[in-house]
Amino acid sequence: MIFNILQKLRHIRQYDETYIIDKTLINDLLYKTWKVTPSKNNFMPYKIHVIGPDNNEFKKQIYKNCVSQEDYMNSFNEKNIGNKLNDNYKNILNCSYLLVFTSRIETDPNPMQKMHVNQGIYLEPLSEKGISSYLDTISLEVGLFANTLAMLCLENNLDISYTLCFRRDLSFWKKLPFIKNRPILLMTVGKGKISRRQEMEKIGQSVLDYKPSYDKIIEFVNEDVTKDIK
Amino acid sequence: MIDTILGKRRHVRDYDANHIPSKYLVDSLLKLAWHVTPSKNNIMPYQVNVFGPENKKEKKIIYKNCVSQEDYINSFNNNNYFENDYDAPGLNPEYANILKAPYVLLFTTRLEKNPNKNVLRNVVKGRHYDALNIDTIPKINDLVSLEVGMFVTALCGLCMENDLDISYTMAFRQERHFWNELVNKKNYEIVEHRPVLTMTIGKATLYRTLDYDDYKPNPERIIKYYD
Repeated sequence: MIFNILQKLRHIRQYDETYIIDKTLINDLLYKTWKVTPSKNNFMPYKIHVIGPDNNEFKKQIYKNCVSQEDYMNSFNEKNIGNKLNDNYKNILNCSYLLVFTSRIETDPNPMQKMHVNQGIYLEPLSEKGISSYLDTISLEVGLFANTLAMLCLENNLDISYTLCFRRDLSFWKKLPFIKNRPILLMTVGKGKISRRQEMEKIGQSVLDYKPSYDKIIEFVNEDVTKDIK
Repeated sequence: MIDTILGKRRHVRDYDANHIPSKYLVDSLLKLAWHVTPSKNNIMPYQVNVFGPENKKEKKIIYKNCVSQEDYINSFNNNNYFENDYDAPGLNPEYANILKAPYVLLFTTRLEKNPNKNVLRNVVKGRHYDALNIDTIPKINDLVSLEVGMFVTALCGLCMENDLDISYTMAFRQERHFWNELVNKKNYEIVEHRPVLTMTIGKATLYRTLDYDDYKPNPERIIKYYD
């Protein structure tokens, strides 16, 4: 079941802008995700800013931010292509919901966390200094949350896409005053019409864009795994 | 349905030594997770190092690394009087699952030396990828962690569907020299760049007890709507 659902995941370039998603459905899927997503010491040191269907101005600002990051990144290549390949960010403009994940400092710890601090345990999510050295853990937990939400969306016949190319520096987020901590992930939700894969297939390029093979990613260490794999 | 499957997950303290999942099953689940996990530019800048039932020595190294990190991190608390006793006979219960699990997965950062044709073509055109360069790979630590989070969510769901339990550990020493002893059959260091996550798989006999004082922040504090 998990495999069949996740197999439907495609990076969407164009969502159906006429398709209305009931807000209660999004709310329900987010609640279910919150309920089942684990977090180290139960902190959930992140926040999800959900930008709804009518907030086109915010979406435009975030789209510009992504294109700007692509320009910036490609400046490290001598042949700098600039932002000519920005079709991948169109989904930000035409999605129903845009989710911006940011880090979050915990200002109201639970009783167990308070007890731990008094016992002499150091908990990074409680301070700005701690959170800045905790970004990898926060990102990992955002990955746990986002992929669970993705599964729930796909199960409900909604599509999603992730974007990781955007400016991290808060000075680039001034036009979105609610973004007060480091952004970590952009996720769009809607009813997909055209995927990146479909567009690449049309021009015969999908065969070029493959994953590293399974053997490059997974290694059974110091054991001959073929022993009991028939 | 998905939430019912994932809702079965609980942090494991002890695994059943008599119930060892077959390597065939673990390998199959990893293949499925690999197949369905997305990655930016299809690079998958991480490696999953799987330690099986016979890798007791390696599990001990990982366990010690976790306990040592706990001591290190608590030294930042001025009230610190909580220190692990390395000579004590018992195990630190938070990390005992690493020693008891049939399978321990150590996720590490991976430098892509042989990217796919689409990436190569884009490099020629003038695009830049941090994941391809040893000097820039530390800049994407957060991205690597995020993608590992996506991979393990898929793997967790697949394990739950197959009545296996899992646990995550994120407290361990980051510096490479703490991992020198961990080598593969070719005697190469396994942690070439950075450890990201430890995950254990097996059949649980004991879970961490739920404590009503140890609750999550409520959803309204995590999720904000801008209509």
